[in-house]
Amino acid sequence: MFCKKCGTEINDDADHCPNCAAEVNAEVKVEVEQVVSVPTYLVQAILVTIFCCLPFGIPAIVFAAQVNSKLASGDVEGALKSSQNAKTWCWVAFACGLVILLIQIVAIALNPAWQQMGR
Amino acid sequence: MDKNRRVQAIIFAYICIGVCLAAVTLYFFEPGKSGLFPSCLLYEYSGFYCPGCGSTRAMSKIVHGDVVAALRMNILTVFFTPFIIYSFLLFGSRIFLKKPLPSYRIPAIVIWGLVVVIILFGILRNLPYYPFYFLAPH
Repeated sequence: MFCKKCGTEINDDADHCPNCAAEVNAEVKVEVEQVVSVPTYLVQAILVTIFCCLPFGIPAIVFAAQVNSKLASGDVEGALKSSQNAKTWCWVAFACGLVILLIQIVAIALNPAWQQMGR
Repeated sequence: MDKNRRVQAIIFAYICIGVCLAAVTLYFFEPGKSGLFPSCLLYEYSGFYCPGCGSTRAMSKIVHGDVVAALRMNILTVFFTPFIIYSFLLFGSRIFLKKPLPSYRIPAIVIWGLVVVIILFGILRNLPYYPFYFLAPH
C-alpha cells in the first residue's frame, strides 16, 4: 500500500510511514485486508468449464474478471457482488454437470449396449 | 484452531481424498476405452468438441506421466493444471502454515483474455483444416 500523506510505497503491516513517519490509517489497513480477501472463484470456474462440459462456466469466469477490475478501481462493494455472482454460476455449472453425469450413469446402468454406441 | 479453519481443513482433506481416488481410477481405467467414463453428451449427439473435450483423457495421460499425449488430448487443460495445483497448495498453506504461500491477483484483462482463448479454442478445434485439427483430441 501507499502512504496517504507522501505517497511512498510502504509495507502492508507497517504502522508508520518510513519516509514521513505519518501514522498509517487503520481504515486503510482494513480496506486493504478486505480487498485481499474478496475471492474470484476463478479456479472453480475454470474447473467447471473444463470438466462439466458446459457453457455455464463462462459467465463464472466473466464475473471473476469483474471482481478484479472492480477491485482495481476501488469498488470493493461491487467486487463482493461480482464475487457472489461468480460463486453462484460455479454452483449452477457444477450442478448441471452432476445432473447430466447422473443421467448418463442411469442410462448406462439400464442399457449396457448404450456404451458401445457412438464413441 | 478456530471453527472456520477446522471446516476448511475438513474440506481440504476431502479434496485430497477425492483427487487421490480420481488419480487411481484414471490410472487403472482409461477413459474412452474402458467404458467406465461416459463420453460428453454434446459430443455424443452433435459430434462437436467443446473446450473441455478430452480433459478427462488428458488427466489420465498426466497420471500416467505422458504430458505430450495429454497435450494432444486437451492442450488447455494441461496449461491450467499447474495453476490449479498451486491454488490448491495456496488453500492448504492458508490453513496449515503460519506463513502461507504468496497469493496473487490476476489482472482483469488477463481473465478476459482467458475467456476469449477458451471460446476460440472451442471453435478452432472443430475446424478440419491444418493446423487446427491438432487441437482436437487425437
